[in-house]
Amino acid sequence: MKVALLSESEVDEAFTRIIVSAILGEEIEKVEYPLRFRGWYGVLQLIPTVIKSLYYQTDAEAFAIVVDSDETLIHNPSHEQTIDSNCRLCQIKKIISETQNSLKLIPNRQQIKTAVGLAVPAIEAWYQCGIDAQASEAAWLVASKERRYSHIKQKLKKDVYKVDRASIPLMTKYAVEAANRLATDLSDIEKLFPDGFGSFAQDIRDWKDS
Amino acid sequence: MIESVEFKNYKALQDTKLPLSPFTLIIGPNGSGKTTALKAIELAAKTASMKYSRVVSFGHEKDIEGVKVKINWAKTSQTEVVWKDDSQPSAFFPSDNDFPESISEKIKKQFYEKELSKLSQMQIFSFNSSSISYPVQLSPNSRLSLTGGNLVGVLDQLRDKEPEKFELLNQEVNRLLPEYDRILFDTPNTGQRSFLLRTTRGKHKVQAEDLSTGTLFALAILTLAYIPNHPPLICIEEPDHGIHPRLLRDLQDALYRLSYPESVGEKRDPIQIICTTHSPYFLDLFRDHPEEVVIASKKDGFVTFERLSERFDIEDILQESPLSDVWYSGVLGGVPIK
Repeated sequence: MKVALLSESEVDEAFTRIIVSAILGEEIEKVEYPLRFRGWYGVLQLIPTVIKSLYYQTDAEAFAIVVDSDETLIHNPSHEQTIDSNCRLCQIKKIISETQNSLKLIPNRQQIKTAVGLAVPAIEAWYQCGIDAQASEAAWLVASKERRYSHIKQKLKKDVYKVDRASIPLMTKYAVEAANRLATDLSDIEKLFPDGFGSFAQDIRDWKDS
Repeated sequence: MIESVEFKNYKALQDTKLPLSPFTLIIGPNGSGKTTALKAIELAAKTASMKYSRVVSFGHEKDIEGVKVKINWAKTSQTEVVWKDDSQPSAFFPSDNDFPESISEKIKKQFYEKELSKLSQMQIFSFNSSSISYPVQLSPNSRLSLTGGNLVGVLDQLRDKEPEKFELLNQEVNRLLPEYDRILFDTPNTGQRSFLLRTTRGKHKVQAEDLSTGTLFALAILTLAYIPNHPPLICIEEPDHGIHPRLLRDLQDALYRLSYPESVGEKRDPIQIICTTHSPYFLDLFRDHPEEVVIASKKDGFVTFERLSERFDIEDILQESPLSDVWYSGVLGGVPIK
């Protein structure tokens, strides 16, 4: 399956590629150019352009994006009815849905399948799944009430990369190691990150049925 | 390492302090004293004489204190360099430092003179693509010129003296610029050296003069990160110039390699780095390290420097918007005032 990945860095892309392939059960084929966003702030403006470009200009079949939750709300299935404006996953899904509905019908061109992941509080928490008992959405809910987010994020990064200023090759090495480890058995990460990762995995599994 | 530098009556730096970290990025409008500060540090380090009337702040020609640059080294010690006229300045080494009491003043003075002498080797780079690509006559102990000239001499030396590092540099060039896989050398005329990059596909050789400006700048900065024997302080004017925004994170890595060698597993003294930039893309890479960003502002001809992390509200501000947008908005200062 030809899948476009929109990520914040080549590190995140390397991780997501392995995970999406593992969930899908097949090696994904990549679209020609790696798609990037610069921090959360530009994502919502960027997504309509990316979806339209993928639909009109490429033969991409699916599109996956993973963003960090930072300090925002953890996604909850109850949001599906109300769309919480402080939930990044909901905001992205809303934009995707609006954009998909605005596309012109093209003969033989199917709608692009999508999947949205919300890493709580940052993608490094997913890397730590199975290594650090504090790496879970439930643990973050408790921790976030006690400490400043920036300190938790710094500690998380230090725990993963072992240095304060990790280079891209070093970060990629850890990301790929974590992805390969998690890919062998996704049940733990789906259980510990049910709303940000679990729903992402379900989106991807639904691609095959649609 | 230098923790801060205080300036008195030096051009637009009438009375201000520049805070520094192992790596410092200075942002601010044109003419806000960024380059002036770097040049002042260099002059102080060299304890060089200068035309007093050209450097003393307007209206402060008769100030009894003269022109002063005070270098605050890490661990509370200081070096004060003072010019009163066109002649060579005086250097003072106040005694409130970390030495045990048993160490004589003479030995302390010798120590700080040595530190200042090492600092006098500091370099302020402002790269120029023609200089970087120009062939050179080979000579021993080649050093990169301040415009990036003699890059080929430095590369040639690295290949001969530190072949492992030269291989790592080749790998890094290929990672950043996948179009190329190797640095090669040519002898255009007797005794001359030029460099080429070999294309990954087809193994074609591209002469340095035919490489793009951004490719040459990226190569110069990557090379800096791999060559040995740097002075303790390196300044780079707009290292992001000509480089694609997506490569700026790699550029940051290359510079961090110098100032935080332990982060890449290297065991050597860190090199303090000061960069200037006007690039919002580059600035955004320092969101998690506001202590490394210094904002230069100029009001009524008076320059101030403020470390971003010293703003008590910075964490709250950055929750709402990207650092570059916040800077552009003007709420941090460091923007042109019309």
